[in-house]
Amino acid sequence: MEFLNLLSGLIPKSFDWRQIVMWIIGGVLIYLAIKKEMEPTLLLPIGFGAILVNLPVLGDLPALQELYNAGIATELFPLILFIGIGAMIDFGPLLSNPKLMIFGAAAQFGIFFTLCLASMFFAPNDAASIAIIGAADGPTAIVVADKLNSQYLPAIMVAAYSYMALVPLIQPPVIKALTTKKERMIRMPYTQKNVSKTTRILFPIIITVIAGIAAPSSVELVGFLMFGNLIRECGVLDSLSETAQKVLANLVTIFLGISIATTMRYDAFLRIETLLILGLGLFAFIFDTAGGVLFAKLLNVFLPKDKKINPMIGAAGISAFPMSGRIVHKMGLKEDPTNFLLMHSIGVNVSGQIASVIAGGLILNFFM
Amino acid sequence: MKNISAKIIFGLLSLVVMLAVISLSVCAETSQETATNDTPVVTTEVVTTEEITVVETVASEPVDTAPSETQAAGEETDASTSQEEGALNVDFTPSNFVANLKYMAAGMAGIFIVIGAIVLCIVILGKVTDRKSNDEE
Repeated sequence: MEFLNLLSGLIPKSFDWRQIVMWIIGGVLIYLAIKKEMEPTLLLPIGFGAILVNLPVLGDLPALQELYNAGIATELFPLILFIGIGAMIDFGPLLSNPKLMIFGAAAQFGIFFTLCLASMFFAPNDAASIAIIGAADGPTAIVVADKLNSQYLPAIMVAAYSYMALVPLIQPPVIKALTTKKERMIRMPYTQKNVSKTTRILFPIIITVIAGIAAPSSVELVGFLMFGNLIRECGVLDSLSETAQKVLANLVTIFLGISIATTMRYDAFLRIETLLILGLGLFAFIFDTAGGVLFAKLLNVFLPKDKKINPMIGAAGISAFPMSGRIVHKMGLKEDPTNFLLMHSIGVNVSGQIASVIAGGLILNFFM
Repeated sequence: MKNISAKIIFGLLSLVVMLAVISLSVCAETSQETATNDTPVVTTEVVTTEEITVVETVASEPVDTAPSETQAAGEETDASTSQEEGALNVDFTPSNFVANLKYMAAGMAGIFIVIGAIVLCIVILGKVTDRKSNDEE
């Protein structure tokens, strides 16, 4: 009898069927990360963490909670990750043709359109946090949702990172629906321009100053991103640049993934609002793509025949770097195997990184 | 032909997503009305006697009022109802779409202005550094 009592004491008292559902969701995320190689750096820790925090234990897991408090609640992890991202980005293609930056701006249309849509269902701070899924940038989404105290952070994170991985599936149908074959075959010759080292060094400093003045709430995000880039471009900190690109980025990614998972408890994640958020996030990506493409088409109305822009490069203005740029390049090659759009699309893609952070800062300006 | 079918597919997908969103919102409205009609209205009175504050809660018959009034009067009960399993914790307010268009306009204008300023700075910087390198040569 005592033995049976001892055994029954091992059975967790607080067990909910929804915890099993979260195990399945965690398993699906792990499957997508490993088998389909969809953003494995984040989906794998998030998937594993989702299983971990939904095990029937007594109370919270203190270590994970401390990690969350230290890195997510303070927005430290996404900001440090931005140093690594900044160190990885080469702004050369953009600096040789800075006019491409306007497509990065146009492709943030989906964020603000989704803001209007989401506001029909959610409170302003939650609607703004959901809209920033359209930034296609994980750290920006975390920082904005955290600063606005959104209660839907776990759903927003899963949506942001999942859709970033699904960009190769989301963008092509939208681009094809909005362009004709003739437009997709527009050639854009690339003439390489040398960008001076002075320009490369001053660029991150100028961006930080301008963004800090125009959108003060974005100064942390922009500042850390540009600091990483400055480490890369200065030429005297090669070891720091390499550390930032590899060790620092990977280390923070591990902690970020597992910390986000602390918010994926079944009672916070398994809500009908999560489905709505996933739907709105998809809308954000679709209208981002549409915004960039349609803006390019609008410009073509005013441009002479020999200087037309291939509207597909507008779609590369989202922050999913370098996936979006490569997708546009591949679609261009499919239409015309001699049409190389890579340098243009990568330039636009890189500008999307900057524009998405500025959009995040503007959103914070409006709602904080 | 392929382009037309792509457009049709895109249009249909958009329609399906919109219908799903609308049906979810209708469910939200229905569940909110049901919660409002079935739940007794709870009024709360705060009585302060010297240093002691006593909160007296009185439950009365349900009153068929507009959702906003009921929400104000029965805040505690509505909150607990809305947090029940499967209940949708959203309010469908279509007018907010129009009300938030100003943020869309301001946001897009803001981004274009900031990006425009950055582009201008880069172009000027490029010209200055080009001139310097030409002078050195």
